[in-house]
Amino acid sequence: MTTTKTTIKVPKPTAWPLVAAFGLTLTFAGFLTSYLVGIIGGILSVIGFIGWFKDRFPNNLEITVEVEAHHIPAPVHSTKSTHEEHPHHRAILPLKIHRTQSGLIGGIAGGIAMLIVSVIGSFIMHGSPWYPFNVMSASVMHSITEQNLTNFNAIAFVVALGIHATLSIGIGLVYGVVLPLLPKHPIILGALIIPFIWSFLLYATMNTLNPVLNETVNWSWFLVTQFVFGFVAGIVVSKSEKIQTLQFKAFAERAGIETGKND
Amino acid sequence: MTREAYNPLSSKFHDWVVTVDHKKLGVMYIVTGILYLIVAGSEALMMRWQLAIPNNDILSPDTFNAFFTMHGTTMIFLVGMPILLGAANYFIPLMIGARDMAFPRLNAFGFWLFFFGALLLYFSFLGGQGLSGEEGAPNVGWFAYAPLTSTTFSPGSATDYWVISLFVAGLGSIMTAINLVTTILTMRCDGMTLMKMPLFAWMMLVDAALILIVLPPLAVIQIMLLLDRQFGAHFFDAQAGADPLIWQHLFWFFGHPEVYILIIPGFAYISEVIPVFSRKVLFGYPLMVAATVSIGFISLGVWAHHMFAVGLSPAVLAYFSGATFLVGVPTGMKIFNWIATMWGGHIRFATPMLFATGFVSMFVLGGLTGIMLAVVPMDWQLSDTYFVVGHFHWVLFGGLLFAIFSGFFYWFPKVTGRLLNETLGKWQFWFLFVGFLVTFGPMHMAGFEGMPRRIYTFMPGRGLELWNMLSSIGAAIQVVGFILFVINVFWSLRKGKIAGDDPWDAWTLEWSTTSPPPPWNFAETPQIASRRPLWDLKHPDDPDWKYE
Repeated sequence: MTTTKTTIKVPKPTAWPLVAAFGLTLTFAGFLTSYLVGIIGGILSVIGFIGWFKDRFPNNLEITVEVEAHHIPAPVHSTKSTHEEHPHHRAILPLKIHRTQSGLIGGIAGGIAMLIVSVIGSFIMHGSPWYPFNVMSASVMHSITEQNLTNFNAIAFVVALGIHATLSIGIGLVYGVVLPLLPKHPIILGALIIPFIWSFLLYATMNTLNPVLNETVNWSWFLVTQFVFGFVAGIVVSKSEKIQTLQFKAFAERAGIETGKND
Repeated sequence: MTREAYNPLSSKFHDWVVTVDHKKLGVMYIVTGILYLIVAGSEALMMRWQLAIPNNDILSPDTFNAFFTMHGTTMIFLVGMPILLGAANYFIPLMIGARDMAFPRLNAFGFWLFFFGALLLYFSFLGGQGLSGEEGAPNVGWFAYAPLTSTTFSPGSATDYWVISLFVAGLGSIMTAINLVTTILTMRCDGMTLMKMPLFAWMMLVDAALILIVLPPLAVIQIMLLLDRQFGAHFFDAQAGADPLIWQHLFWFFGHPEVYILIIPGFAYISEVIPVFSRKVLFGYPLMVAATVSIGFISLGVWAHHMFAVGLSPAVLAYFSGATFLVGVPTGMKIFNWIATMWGGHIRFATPMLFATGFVSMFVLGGLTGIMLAVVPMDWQLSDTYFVVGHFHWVLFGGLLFAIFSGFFYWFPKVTGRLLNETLGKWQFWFLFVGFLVTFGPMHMAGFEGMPRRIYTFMPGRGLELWNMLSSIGAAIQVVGFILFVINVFWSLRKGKIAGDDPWDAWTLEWSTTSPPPPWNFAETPQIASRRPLWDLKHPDDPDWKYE
């Protein structure tokens, strides 16, 4: 920004506000020391306020300052041209997202993979495929006890499948939203970081929430199944098609009122 | 006028005391605040030395009481307030394209009231004995609960010093707040509608409005207390039929918004720093404005969460608990918006950005412990323990102080014309960050173990030794960070790299004038068309105004 002016007026420096403030402080300090201090403070503050008033009336006192070369700022310029600046400096990132159904499909795929691994683990460790179903249903079915965790129970089987499907689809949908936020490393985020965080939270709190259930869970194998879910769901979601967000379209287009095409 | 004469940091003594220039007054506020930061920090260090081991006798009980009172009072009123008002004083006119504040002389009056009020508070160490010969400095805690402040329990003049000095300093803050509100509402340059103001200005507008709403009630109860103590009134005297809880209600009606008065400027600083160092537009500007205004309103209705343990009715407890949860919503919006601004950005981790990200991470944790304390049964367990001390230091140190340093490193080149040393700045950050975690993290654990706040020592064998020792070690680590800061400032003032007018390639108006700015800020009144006027000037092929 340049200027053609050679002089500029600014308010004249003055000590009266200082005098008034000092006087006012002494006035109150009179309560703490002696009335004499208070009286002196009162007189000073009145003098200060009168001086201040005379600075302002009848005319506002100003001084004129010369504009010199070093007062003039350099022309405004950027160290980078527009195309070198951040290309999406106004955008709400990410610019592209997965379709909703990709999260749905990823959740289902991850859930199936996790189910298979859980059943294999159950066979190896307990000699029965029903152990994970019974443990999961035990969180809502009081009839399931530690003694019958390896037996087939049709109701427990259906309840566990329902819980598992709901959670898998729900987390799959979350993956659909979250994975584009770390576009360079979707598998690390989906298969390792997120499963580790929620497994850790469950591990840390399960003993408080349900100590009996906590005893029945093999946490190492649990972590393996979570990684399998995350890996499969992460791959399915990240490999699915991405679409542009609607952020650069007009509200009427986003609301579906207009198509945005010139017919 | 020579070049030296207009440099706010190289003017003569006489120029300083008679100045009405908002920039010099801003610098005076900030320098005074930093000096008191050193004083309050020294008091804190003495307390941590005392509490490093059980049954220590570095400080006597009475001295310890005086130190925690003066530390708290100083940090709130003589460090936080002047630094935030100083920064607003300096930058608001520059950011909105004005030549000065609306009332330059009132501005000087406000500063000197603060300055003399602060001196009066510390004069209590010498004059607090008064005629009675009782103890010197105030020792009733920074919130000075009744009936502890009655002459029966606090004879002498120390409490009166606390009352009168803060009353005077508070008057100064009210004057400055009037000035800020008027300046922001009436002196914006052409084209700068309210929704095109820098977020800094919006936040300081809300902040100044909060000051105008809550500082007068504090002044009123201070006068009531003075009348009780000096003239035999009975506003807080239970034996005369009054209710001492009135003090708590009215004090916290000021005290809790005061926390927001302190932290909102912190929000303002990092809301300017994060976009510039991420090379992106601030995410969700309108939402940030709405969240700031919401925080201002909600903060006026949460005061009794400081009083859950006094025996409030269930309905009152439920309301204040709920209201406290509610304030987390707009605060959370801000956090998400800052993260969304950084997300995918070309982040430059220069020292201002380092402190800004430190602020965001630590403020989130401090906010979460605040939510824990909003749960009434938890508050009953933790009230008046070191958990509370850890919580509010986490918010005000990890939050406000980190934000202040972020802003200091960001705007120092504009004020002085020289850049602070980056290497020293980064060392300072890491010493402060680690020292902060080691000091205040263990305080939460000591609180869980049941350590009451304000005790001058503790018994061995109660599980408190480790946490207290860690806190004291952390305080020593922080000292190194502060020393590096002081060295950096003095070194950079003399030998720092010349900054130029716009060292960060920033976008708000203060970077369009010289560093340091001339007395009149702008020779020609600027005209703007968007929230990033300098972006528009730098990139005429892709101006912001097309998108706002």
